[in-house]
Amino acid sequence: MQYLQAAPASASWQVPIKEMQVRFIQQRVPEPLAFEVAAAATSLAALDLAEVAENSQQPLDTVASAYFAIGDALGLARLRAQVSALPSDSYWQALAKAASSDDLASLQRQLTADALQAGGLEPWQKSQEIPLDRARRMLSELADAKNADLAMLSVALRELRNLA
Amino acid sequence: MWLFDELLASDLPEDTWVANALQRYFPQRLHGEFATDIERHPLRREIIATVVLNEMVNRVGPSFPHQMTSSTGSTPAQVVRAYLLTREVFALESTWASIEALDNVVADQTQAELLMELAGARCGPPRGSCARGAWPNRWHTRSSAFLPRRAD
Repeated sequence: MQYLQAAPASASWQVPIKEMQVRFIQQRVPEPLAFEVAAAATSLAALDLAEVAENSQQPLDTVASAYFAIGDALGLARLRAQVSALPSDSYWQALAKAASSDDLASLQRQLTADALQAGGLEPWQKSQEIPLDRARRMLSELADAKNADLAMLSVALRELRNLA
Repeated sequence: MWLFDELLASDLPEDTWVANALQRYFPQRLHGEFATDIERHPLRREIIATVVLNEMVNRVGPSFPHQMTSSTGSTPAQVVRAYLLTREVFALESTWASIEALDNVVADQTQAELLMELAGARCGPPRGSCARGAWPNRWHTRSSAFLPRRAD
């Protein structure tokens, strides 16, 4: 869970983790355990970080900072939440949902690797100004949508692909 | 039973790392003196398959293997291997042990919640799908980086 230290404490996705941790502590669960369980859902990021660090031969905390900064810059946490809010009532819906969340994870890995190669978030953002602008605009439109459906999310993912 | 047959037919029981399960099956006291006999047990493969399956189903539920094979296209043996890897990579055994050590310290309800949160089984009965809990395993079953390395 050390990688979470590289994440901005103000990030909105940290809020539910903190809340759950507090709730568990109130129920007399020891603090480290409460944190570990509350933050368990972020372990996927740990695997992604390890993979990018291994491939790019960069230290883990450099990778973690870039990874979370990109997530923040593009609002990927919100997108992830929208994907996990998709219905999975049927077999195909569940598969589509799983595929989108895999896509999203691989995108964030790819973008992190790109940013590291470009020498950091800022130079990368400069080099990607136009597609980044487009993607941001689309994502903020999507963020306003109450119930994002699979069609909207696949278009958004496609748009993000243009950055990679 | 389908799963058991699949595992038995696979090369999973031959994996030396997975085969540790064989030792776990026998009482500690037999480990030293009879270690070689344990290795030569005629039902060696059957015992390994039973132990790893039971351990997995107890932790992540009986529908997990089916869910993973159908959503990732992996074989049951790959799913079991991925499950074991996930358990080790995230040191889940020790977290489970710390939760279980809270018997009579926290409410049962809290303990159950901790376990379910960890397993990602935070889905109500009507939904019945636990996609969220499946992710680390999904990652492992997908990842080209992990499986081949384990297989050799």
